[in-house]
Amino acid sequence: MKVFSGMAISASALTAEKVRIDVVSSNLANINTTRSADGQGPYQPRNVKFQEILDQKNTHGRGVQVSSVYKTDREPRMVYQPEHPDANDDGYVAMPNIDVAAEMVDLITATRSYEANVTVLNASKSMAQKALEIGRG
Amino acid sequence: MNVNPISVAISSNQQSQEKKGNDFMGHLGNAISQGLNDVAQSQNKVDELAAKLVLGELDDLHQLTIASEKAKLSLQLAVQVRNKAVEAYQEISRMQI
Repeated sequence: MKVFSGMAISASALTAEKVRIDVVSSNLANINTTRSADGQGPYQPRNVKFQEILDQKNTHGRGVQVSSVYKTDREPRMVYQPEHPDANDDGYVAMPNIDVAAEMVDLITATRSYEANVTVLNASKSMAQKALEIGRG
Repeated sequence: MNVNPISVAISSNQQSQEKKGNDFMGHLGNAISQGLNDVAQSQNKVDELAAKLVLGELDDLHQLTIASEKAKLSLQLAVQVRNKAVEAYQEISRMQI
């Protein structure tokens, strides 16, 4: 029903922001991970890429979707720890290059964006309810 | 959430659909039963999502809250349509001949 199309757009935004928060929590959890899942090196921080969803006629937008969660390609930061099992020949361990301040800013923007979309959703719902009051009384 | 009365109304409506022809009352009855069908479907969807939440299989919590708001709005709309139809009938029945 076209009545609920605005709510569907906000719902897609809520899902996308939730993915972004998941990525931030994954980055912060792996801040000291010296070996990633495929064993190639330290954990590389992830980031999300959003994309607009278009309707069939490609005229106006139908919301947002996460087009990809990509690994960034940053130089790992070297920490001198010779007794670590993953240390290289010089005694340096490659740690992930994650900027905690940048991740926290991403977290805050994702949270505020989530709250803003919930406000929009409540507004469309109360608009629909007000429309039902036409002719009452 | 008890949706049994609505589904009973739909099944009895569908049985009598073949008797109604292409007249105005036929179209109106079809439209009303279609609308009630949609309302019942949205209620069933909310029950499905709530069951998923209890089992721990729900992906996003906001899916459940948005679906329950949609079901509530659809039901409110159906109630308003019924009120208008009843009002119109009462208005007509009050006409003095």
